[in-house]
Amino acid sequence: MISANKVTKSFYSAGMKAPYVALNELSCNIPGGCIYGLVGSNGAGKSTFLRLLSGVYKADSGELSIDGLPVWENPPAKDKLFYVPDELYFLPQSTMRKMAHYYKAIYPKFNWERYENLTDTFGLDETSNLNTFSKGMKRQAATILALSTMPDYLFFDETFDGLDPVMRNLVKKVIYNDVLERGTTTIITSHSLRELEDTCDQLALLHKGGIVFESDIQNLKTSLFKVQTAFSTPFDRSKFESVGIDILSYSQMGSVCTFIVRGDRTSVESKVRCMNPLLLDMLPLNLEEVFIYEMEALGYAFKDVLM
Amino acid sequence: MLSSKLFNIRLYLEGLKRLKVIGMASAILSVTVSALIPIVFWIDMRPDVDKITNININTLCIPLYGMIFLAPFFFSALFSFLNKRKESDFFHAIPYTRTCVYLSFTAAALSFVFAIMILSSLAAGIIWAMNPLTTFRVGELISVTLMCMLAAAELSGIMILAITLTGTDTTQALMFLLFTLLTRLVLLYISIGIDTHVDVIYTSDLPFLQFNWFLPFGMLAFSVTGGEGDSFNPLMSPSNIIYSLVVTILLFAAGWLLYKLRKSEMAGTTAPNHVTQHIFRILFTLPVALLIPLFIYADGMDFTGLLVFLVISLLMYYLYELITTKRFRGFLKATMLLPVVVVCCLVFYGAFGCVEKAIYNATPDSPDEIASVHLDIRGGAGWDDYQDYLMQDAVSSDPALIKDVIDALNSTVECDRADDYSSYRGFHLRWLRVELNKKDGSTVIRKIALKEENYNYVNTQYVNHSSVSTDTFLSLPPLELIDYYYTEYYSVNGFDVAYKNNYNLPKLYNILSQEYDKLSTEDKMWVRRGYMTDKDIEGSFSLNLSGHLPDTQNYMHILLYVSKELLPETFAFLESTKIDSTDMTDSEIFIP
Repeated sequence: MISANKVTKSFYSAGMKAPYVALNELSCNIPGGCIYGLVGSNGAGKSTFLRLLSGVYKADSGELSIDGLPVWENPPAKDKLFYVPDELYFLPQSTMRKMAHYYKAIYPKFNWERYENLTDTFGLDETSNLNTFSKGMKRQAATILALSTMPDYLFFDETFDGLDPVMRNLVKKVIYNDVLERGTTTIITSHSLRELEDTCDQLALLHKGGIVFESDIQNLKTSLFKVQTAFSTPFDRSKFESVGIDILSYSQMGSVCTFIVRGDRTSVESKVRCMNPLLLDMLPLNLEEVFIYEMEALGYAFKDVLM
Repeated sequence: MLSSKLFNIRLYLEGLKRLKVIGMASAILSVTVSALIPIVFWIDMRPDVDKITNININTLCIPLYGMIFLAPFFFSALFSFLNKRKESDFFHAIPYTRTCVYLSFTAAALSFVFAIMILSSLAAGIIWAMNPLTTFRVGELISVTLMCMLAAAELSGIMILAITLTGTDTTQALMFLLFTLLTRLVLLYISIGIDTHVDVIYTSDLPFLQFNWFLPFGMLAFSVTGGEGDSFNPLMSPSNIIYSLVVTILLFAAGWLLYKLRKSEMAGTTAPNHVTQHIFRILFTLPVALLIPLFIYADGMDFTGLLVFLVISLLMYYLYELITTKRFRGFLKATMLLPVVVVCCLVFYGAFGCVEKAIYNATPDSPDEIASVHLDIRGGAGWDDYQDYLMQDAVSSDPALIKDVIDALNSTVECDRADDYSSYRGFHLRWLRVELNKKDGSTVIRKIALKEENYNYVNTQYVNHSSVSTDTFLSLPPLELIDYYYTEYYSVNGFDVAYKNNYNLPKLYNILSQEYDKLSTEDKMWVRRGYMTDKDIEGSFSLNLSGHLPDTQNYMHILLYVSKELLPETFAFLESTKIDSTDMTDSEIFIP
């Protein structure tokens, strides 16, 4: 389990009036064995959070731990994790095989068989200089190497960048398998919500150095839905609220109205049916719509946070 | 666990691998040049000469001196990942402590540098040892190699500080230069200032102005100016070795501490925070800014000069900000710290007055305070290297001599304070360095101004009343210390160069020693310093003996005047073996 408690991190840069606060008292608990998606705009603090979790950065204040162990300057904790940064780095003039040997010496659980299997699966030439690889191939190589170290915690920063749709799906698949087989806790950051929609178990929205929203994806998708209905007699929003329907957003054009509801789908449907509507459609929301309405409910304008 | 906390062999090997290019290039260059130098020596030597030990260790070790100044670049190259964001992240994300990365990489860089130095030394040493025309001085070579290694480590320690305190290659290079030079420059400025204003002391005798203490520069100075007569002796003193070793250890320890504290996000930034950025900028300005108080103190600056240095100082101040941040935004904040530079200049100006006052206050003014004196007669009264060597630890407790010295010192202080030497007008002014051993056990070193006649008198008195007897003082060195000789014959028309010949050195020295020992003190004095006496040297041979002093192996030169009257057998021997210089080539006349 990953635990962050009021973690703050700021950066100094010459010529700046004041230090830039990247993370501001961020707190979260990420349960073991899940795929945790961190979404946020550029500068929201996603990469900073991953670097703090990897022991690259030291928090200015607050506590960060993995399985109860602090990460900073603690090799036993760092042995459990592998960080794939947004800007990949490989040792100079190295091949995948050389990097594998390097990681094998560093990470005690490095699995050579797994490395060879994954290399075959992705069809990469492990003897070619990594500098000759394309951006996408480098990402694949980094993913293979990361998974081969058999970490308990895997952190991917913008990892689907530069991958074509086929490779993206392949990468997602090997990550799923790893989580399923070994219970690896995985954190994936992205600035695209759609990227994470079908990948993660949990999603958190990072904004200005803090998590403004965090939820289980399945709950998110099922807890909100869109209702489209029409009546022969005049009506307004209060007609539905009077029977206990929790409306997040409401719009009406003539006798047809559309509203977003939070709650149990069956119960809401039966309540509306009791009103004898001319038309009733219960529509599912995509993750982006769910986020938009949840954020609006929290008082954020979604476009300011993610767009 | 230990391997990931303190040292990791894999990281160490990775460090060596990362240094492959710079290391192999340096190794090839250094080892090749090291091997070539003794080969060139060998080729230049005359095969008909029995034995010549005159291989100049300074020339032989040029590649080692080069490596001293190349060593910091090994560290800069190896730790370059700290200045690049993704590399920095990579090395900080792996499950090793910072201490482990620091120690493993430091060990890698040091071992690469040391390996190159040892290989270079071996290459030079093997070829030197193979040369039958020379005496292989293995101890000297090992000492120089070890000193060069220490100097390389010391300079690398400064680089480590610069690396850990900065986040860009530019600031790293600037800080390395600054950390290396600033203290030397400040000492140099104080030295120049005191030298201009205070005559009663050689600035080199001020304990805090000992430039040799900084081994890399000390070694460089000796290698650059290192003719045959120079030695490493001051550098190789135990105190200097201990000092350099302690400084090196402290530098690496400070580097380790700063490396632990260094934030990964510093990659690409100029300084860890605002405060250090201000400090770096101020330090960067000081080498020029401190020239202003120096020149004011030394009365060497007019208004225009002052204005020029002021403008240059300001340029340096803002240039640093511009170079490192590449924007003008920080100028206003920087301006607010400008008074600190002014304060530094004022403090520096005040320091001159304090040092001056301290020198005068510490100068003894009464013979009663003094237990004994040591006079530095080197190069003064015509004594040779061997006599200097014999007198290096001599002291005299003669009350008359002490009184003469103190009187001269008081007079010098008076003239120095008033900056008026009119009392010496019309006389040839000579300066003499004196060590005054006080009764309280302390030693004060000063220089005294003497008129020519007093100078010679004091010198003679000193030799006559010193702890070294006159007989010892005038004795000849043993044959083992003489490497070769050459002669000149003083004819009516000037002098004719005779020749050098080592086949006959033992025979010549045997005849010379026997005859010389029988001479009176006065005659010995003439033989040893004929040109300083009234006697004519025409018709005599000058016999130049070259060799090395005991212990230090320093080059030694002795000039003897061989006249027909005083040393007839020696004269006859030289006469019988004399060859006209016109029959010889230049390279035959002079030892290469």
